[in-house]
Amino acid sequence: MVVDIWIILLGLAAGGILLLRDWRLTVGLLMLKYVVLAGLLNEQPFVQPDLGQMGLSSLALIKLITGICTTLILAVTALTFSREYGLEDLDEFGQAELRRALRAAARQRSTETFQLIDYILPFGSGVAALVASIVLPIIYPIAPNPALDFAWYWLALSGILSIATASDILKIGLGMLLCISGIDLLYTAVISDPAASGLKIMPLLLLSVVQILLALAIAYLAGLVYGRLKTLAINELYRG
Amino acid sequence: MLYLLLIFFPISMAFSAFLLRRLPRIAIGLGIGALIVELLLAVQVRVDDPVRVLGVTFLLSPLNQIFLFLFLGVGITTLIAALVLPHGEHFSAIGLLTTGQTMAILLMQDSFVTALVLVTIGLTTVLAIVDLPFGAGVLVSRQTLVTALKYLVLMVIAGILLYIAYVLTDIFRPGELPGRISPARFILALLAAGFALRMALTPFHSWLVDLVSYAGSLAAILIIALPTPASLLVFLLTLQSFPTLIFEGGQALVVLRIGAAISAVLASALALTAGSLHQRIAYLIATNCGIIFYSFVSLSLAGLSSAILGVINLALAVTTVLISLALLGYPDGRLLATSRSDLFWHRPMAGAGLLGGGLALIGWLPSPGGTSYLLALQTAAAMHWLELLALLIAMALAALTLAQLAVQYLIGSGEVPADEEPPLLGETILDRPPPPRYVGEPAGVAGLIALLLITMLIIGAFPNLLLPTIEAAVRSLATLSTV
Repeated sequence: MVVDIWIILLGLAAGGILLLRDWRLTVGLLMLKYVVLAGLLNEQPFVQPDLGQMGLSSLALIKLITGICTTLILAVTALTFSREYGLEDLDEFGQAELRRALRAAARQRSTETFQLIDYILPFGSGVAALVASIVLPIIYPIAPNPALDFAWYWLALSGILSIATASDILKIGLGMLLCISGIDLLYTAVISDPAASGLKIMPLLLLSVVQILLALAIAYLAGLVYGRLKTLAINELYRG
Repeated sequence: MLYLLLIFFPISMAFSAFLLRRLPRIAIGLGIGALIVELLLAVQVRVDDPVRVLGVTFLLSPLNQIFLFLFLGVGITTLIAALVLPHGEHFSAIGLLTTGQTMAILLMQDSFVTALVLVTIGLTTVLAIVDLPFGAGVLVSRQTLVTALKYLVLMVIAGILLYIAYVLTDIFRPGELPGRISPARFILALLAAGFALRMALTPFHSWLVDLVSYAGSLAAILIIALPTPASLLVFLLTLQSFPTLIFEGGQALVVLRIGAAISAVLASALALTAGSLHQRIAYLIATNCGIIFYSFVSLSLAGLSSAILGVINLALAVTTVLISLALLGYPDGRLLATSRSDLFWHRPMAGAGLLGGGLALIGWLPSPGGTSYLLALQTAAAMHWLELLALLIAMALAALTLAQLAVQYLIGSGEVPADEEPPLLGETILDRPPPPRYVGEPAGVAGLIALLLITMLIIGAFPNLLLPTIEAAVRSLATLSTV
């Protein structure tokens, strides 16, 4: 397997999303992942550079635009979490519930400190995913070359593990986006193979639409949860 | 052109309904109007007249035409019920969007694309779960948020499994790489897991139970009655497009069949032990889905016909039951919240709908469910006596659940009014909350339930109205599976 800069960056971006908790970092890494994915696809022999003299392909551009839309949706939502919507319609029980949630969230934030133990499970699962992503392309190769096989296995596995180890809703959303990116890469790589049926515009379009819709759904749900509980922590959802 | 109109007309009208969301009756009226126009457009579409657009073939087969009318009928019925029953602010817009996407599934003949559309339906309908009525003045409950999150994650995972399966089918060559795990079995396993999640087969059913328990009943209709039958149609299209999966699937198909039978038994056992009315209904739906899936993966003519008739029954029965549930809670859910055992006498039509829909779900004649279950039993008898026994146990437990449900919630003795508590120190009669005011059943919704029951009775009494079309659509696949 040829390890180039795109593969290393992709590994770092997806690994960072799996490991880190701060949304400012993880959303930034998501954008990095889309840029890297576009770069990785752009250098593949089956992708023809068809956009002027810069050696860019329209396929890479589509992935980049999808990534920008997805990242912007999540970033703008995260930036506007503190805004309150429709509180004037709430009855007194709802307002009391919100005040309680605000106090509980403030208490939680004040007791929250950096603890290494919180990162052990994501780190361990990341190492397991890395080993699996190196071994699986040897045992069960699907994509046309080992680098692409590693890339899609790594994206899908780190996405699944991000969902499994997530402590907040945004992280679950990022995990799902990682998984779909992995499948997107697999589809593009496999279908572009000369022996396969060839890339079609409709599936490509729908894959991008699914990612943007997923980002919208996650943003909407995250906004609702934050508006309700003043935190995105999943354990708060199951309390009371 | 007509195909594209069928898909994009409801989607474009959904944006109009979204803009009118703060005028609920007008938004719902717009939705009903749009679906009636859609119905008129659907009548104009010629059957078996393929058109290729953007690399995808569009075609309306006779079988899909039945489903097209069914889905539009369910959509119109649900929106008419929403004129009276409580619903979310964006209900009309989400309903129209879901209808447009379901039309796309019925018309597109590319299984990968239809699987992608199935995921977009999941992403759209998740909004219906957390949708509150306009100016409700309350917060979304934690359980509802958990339900939405669970549904979203499970639907995306189901979509991912299906995507991988479809990518593999594109590069899979029969007989390649002997000695390695057959890709056909791996693909079938991925497809089965993906569709089992979508069809809420036990143990992948948790989203369905939460949905029926915590989401609005009308929103639940949109999420169960449209995408679930559409999922089975996508599975059917997949097997028709890749028949090599059947040839090379071998033992994997037997495992799927046994798994589906066990799933039906488990779901019916859980239904019997469930704690609330909503949970029991959810488990009855899961039992029905298990039996439908069993019939489908048997791939015999009787089994496939049973599965297709079963999903038609599922769409009608789920709509009837959930509208009845919403009517039991009308206007403020107080009647349901009092844990009464005589709901039937307070809301006779809602009670009749719950019982009638329940009977259709457990496959009692005369309903399409009855014919479907008879065909399922015929299929199981032809396979193995143990499979027949499993189905009989599932059906018996489901029937027992419905009987228990009827006694516990519907036809029990009337409640003896509790003695009035003496006033507390300093309390006057004016400080006490007013006694609950029970309003009668709205005639429109009661009429809708009666119409749904009559439709199920007619299809159940005259299954030959649909069976020849269904058998013609699945005969080729059944023949392939016997080769």
